Amino acid sequence: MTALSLPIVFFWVSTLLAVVAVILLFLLKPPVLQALVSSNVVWKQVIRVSQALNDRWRWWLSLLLATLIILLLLFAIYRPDLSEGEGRNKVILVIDNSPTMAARMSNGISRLDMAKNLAQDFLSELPGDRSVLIVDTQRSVAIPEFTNIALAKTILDGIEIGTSLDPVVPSKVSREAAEHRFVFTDGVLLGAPPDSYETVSVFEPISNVGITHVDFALVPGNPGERQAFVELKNAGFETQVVELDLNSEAGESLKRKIEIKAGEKIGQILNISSFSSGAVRVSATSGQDGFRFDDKAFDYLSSKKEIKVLLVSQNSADDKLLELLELMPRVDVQVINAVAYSSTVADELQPDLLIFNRVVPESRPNRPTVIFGVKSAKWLPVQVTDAMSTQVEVVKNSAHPLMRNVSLRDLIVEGGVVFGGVTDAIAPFLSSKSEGALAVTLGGVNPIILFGFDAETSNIELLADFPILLANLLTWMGDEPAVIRASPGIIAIPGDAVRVNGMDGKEYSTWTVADQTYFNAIEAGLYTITTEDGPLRVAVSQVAEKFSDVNQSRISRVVAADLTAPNLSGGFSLAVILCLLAFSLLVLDWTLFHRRVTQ
Amino acid sequence: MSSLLSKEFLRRLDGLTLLLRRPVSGHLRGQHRSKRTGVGMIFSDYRPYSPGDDVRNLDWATYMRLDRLVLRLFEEEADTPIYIFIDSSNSMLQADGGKFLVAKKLAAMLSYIGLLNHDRVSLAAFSDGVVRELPGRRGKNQMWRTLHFLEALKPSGVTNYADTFKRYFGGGRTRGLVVFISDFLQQESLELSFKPIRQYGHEVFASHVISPSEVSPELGGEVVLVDSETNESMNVHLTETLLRQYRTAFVDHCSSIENFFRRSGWGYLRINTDDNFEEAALIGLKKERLTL
Repeated sequence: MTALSLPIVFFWVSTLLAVVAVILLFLLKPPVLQALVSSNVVWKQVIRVSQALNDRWRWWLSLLLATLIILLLLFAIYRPDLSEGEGRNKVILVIDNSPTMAARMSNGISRLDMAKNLAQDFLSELPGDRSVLIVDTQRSVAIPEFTNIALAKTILDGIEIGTSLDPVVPSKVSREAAEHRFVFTDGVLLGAPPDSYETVSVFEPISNVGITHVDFALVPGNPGERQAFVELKNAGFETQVVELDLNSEAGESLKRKIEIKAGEKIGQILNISSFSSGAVRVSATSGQDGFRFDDKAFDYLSSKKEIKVLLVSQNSADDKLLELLELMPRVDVQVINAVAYSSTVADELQPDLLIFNRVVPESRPNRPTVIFGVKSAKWLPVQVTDAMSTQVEVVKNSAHPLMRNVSLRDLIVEGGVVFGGVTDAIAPFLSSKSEGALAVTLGGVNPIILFGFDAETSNIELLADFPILLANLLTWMGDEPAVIRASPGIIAIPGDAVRVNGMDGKEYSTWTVADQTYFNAIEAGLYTITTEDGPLRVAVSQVAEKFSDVNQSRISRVVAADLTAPNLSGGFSLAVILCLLAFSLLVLDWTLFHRRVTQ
Repeated sequence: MSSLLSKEFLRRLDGLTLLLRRPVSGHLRGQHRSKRTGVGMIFSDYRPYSPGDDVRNLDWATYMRLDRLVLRLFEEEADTPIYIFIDSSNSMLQADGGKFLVAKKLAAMLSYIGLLNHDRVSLAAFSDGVVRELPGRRGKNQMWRTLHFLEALKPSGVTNYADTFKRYFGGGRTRGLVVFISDFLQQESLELSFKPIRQYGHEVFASHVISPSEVSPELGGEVVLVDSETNESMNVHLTETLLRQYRTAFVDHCSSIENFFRRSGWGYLRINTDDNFEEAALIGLKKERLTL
C-alpha cells in the first residue's frame, strides 16, 4: 500500500473536487414537467410491462457501476501492487557491452554510450521505490544484485566495452524474479535476447572494413622465404579502398592498396622475407570506418637462425634422411654412428636437434630429439607395445603443427611399434584406427618426437611431402616456440610463467591455476611471456569475421537517435487515471439513474 | 336552438328512428315492435275467431275460401324507455373538454331521436354514482328541457360504473335501451360493472369517446403524469420505445372494450373528438344499426 506516498495536496484537492462534483451533480436535477392526463390506467399497464425487465437490469447495472467506482477509488488511493510478490518493484537492465557495441553511430557516439544514455534516462523516469539490477553481457559486473536507482546509475556508468566474442545474458539473472526486464543491445554478437526480456535496440548500420585473419608462415618447399596472409572484409554497404600496411619492429614496411566491394571478403598474400624477426603490426585504413577495433592486428616473426642437427644412424652411407637434411638451407647436419654416440659427444657438438634413425639412446637426451623406428627403452615416457606385422591404415591429425601443409596420403606402414599409455601431454599426429598411435610428440623443455616406424617398415622417406614434414619438424623443434594467437581478454598459457610484458614493457599481473598461467590482455598487441623454458610470444588481435560483421544484427528494429526510454506508468499517473475513470463512471451513474425523475 | 345541436343537424335527425334488436314491452303507443299483438300495421299471424274479437280484423277472403272465421293478428307498436348515461367524471374534461362535449352532443342527438319517436328518454350523468338525473320524458316538446339539462352538466369525481348501475337499476326500471357514453378509463372490470344491466335484460349501446391526446400523446423525456380523476402521479421517462408501447397498449385497451360489448351482443361506437361529430355519429349509428 502506497497511500502515504501520494502528494498530500493532490489527495485532499481530489477528494474535495469529488465531493463538490457529487453535490453539484445531484443539485442539477432538471425541473419536473407535469402532464395532466385523463387517466393513468393505460400508462400503468405499459410501465408495469416495460419496467419489470428494465428495473432488474438497471438495478444490477447501478450496483455494478457503484462497485466499480468504489474499487477504482480504492485502487487510486492505495494502489495495491498486483504483480508477483517476489519480483515486485524490481527492474533488471542488461547492458550489452560486447566488442561490436564500440561501433560509432551516425551521431558520433558509440552504441554502448547510446545504450547507457538510454538506460540512464530510463532510470531517471523510474519511481523512487523501484529496485534495479544492472548487469552486462561480459560479466564485468562481478556480483549483480538489486540496488537503489542512484547506485544503479553509478554501476551503469562503470560499464565498459568487453573483449569476449561470446556475450551472454547471465542465466542467474534470467532466473531472478522481476517486474520488468530490458536488454540494451545492438543484437550483433548477443543475438536476439531471451523472450522474457524487452529489447531496446541501439543498432544502426555503419561502414566498416576490418582484418579478419592474419598469419605468417614459411613458404612450403622454400623455408628461407616467409609470407604473410591477411584476410580483409568489407562489412559495410559501399565499396571501400583500403590501404593495407605491415610494419615490423625494425622499421620495415610493406603497403598495398586494395578495393573491396560491399560485403566482400578478400585474402592478400605478402612476401615478408625481408622483414627482421620481431613484432609485426598489420593495419587496414579506409576512408569511412565506424569501427576501429578490427583495423589492426599483431603477430610475431620468429628468427631465421641456422639449426644444428646431429643425425645418429646405424648406417649413414645409404641414409636417405641425411640427403634430405643436407638439402635444407637452414640445416647444418652432422652424422655419427650409433656406436659413437654418447651424451658426452652430444654435449660437445652442441646440436640444436638430435635425430636418431633406427637407434634408441640409452638415456633421455637433454635436448630436442626425434627418433625414427622406436624400440623399447626404459626412459621412454610412453609404452611401446606389440610390433605390427601387417599393413595398417594411417590416420593423420591435421590440427597438429607438424602436419601443416602435409598430406602423407600414400603413406604405407607395414611394421614397427605402436605407442600406448597416451596422456594429455603426449600428442599423437599419426595413428592407426586398429592399432593405436604411430607417431607422437612429447612437449616440455626438450620436446621429443617418436615415430614407431622407419624407412624400412614404411615408405615415408619416399613421399613428396616428407621434406615439408621434416621442415615443420625442424621449425617446431628448433625454432622459437610458435606464436600464440589470441583475442583480447583472459589468456591462458601452459606452465608457469615468470612474467608477462606488453609491447611497451609494461608488466601484467598473472595468476596460476592448475598448471596454467592466466593474464588479462586488455588490448590488442604483442605480449612476451617469460617462462623457464624461454620466451613465449602471444599476439593479441581482435580479428574474427563475426567481430567485423558489425551490421549482422538479429534485431530488426533500427532505433533513431532521439529514442526515448521505455516508459513505466508511474503510481501517481495511474492514480490520476483511476480517479478520472471513477469520476466518469460517477457521471454515467448519475446520468442513468439519479438525474432521472422517473422510476 | 342550442350550442349542442344545430338546426340543420336536427333537421337531418327528423327522419331517423331508433332500432331495437328485441321487441319492446312498453305499454304506451310508440314506434317499436311490441311483444304483444294488436293494432298495428305489420301482419303477425292468424288465429281462429273468438266471440268478442274485433270483427274489423276478420280475414274475409279466407272465410270465402274455407267458410271459417279467421282473425288476422298485427304486431303492436309500443314505446320503449331509453336510459342515456353520460360519463361526467373528471377524465371527460381532458382534451379541452372535447370528450365531454362530444358525449353531451351524442346524448342530445339520441334524446332527440327518442323523443321524436315517442320513447321515454331518461338522462343520467354519473361519475362515482349518478350525479344528476333527468327522469323519463316523452314527446318532442321535452327536448328543450333535455338540452337544458345537458348544458348544465359539469364533470367531477372519479368513474365508478358498478355503483352507478346498482343504484340506478336497483329500484326496478322497465327494460329498455341503455345508452352508455364514456371514455371507459375505469379501474374496475367491465364484466363486473355491467353485470346488473345484463341481469335486468336491458339492451345496451356503448359509445366510446376518445381524444387524440390519448391515442398518441405528444409527450417526451422526463414527465410526471398526473391522473385527472385520482390525482395520482407517476414519474415516467418517456422514450420513443415507451410511447410506442403506450400507443399499442391504448389500441389494445380500446379493442378489449369493443370486444366486451360485441361479445355481449351489444352495440359499440367509438368516436374521436377530432372527427366531424355529425358525420361520425350519423354514419356510426347507422352502421351499428341503432338508427334507421
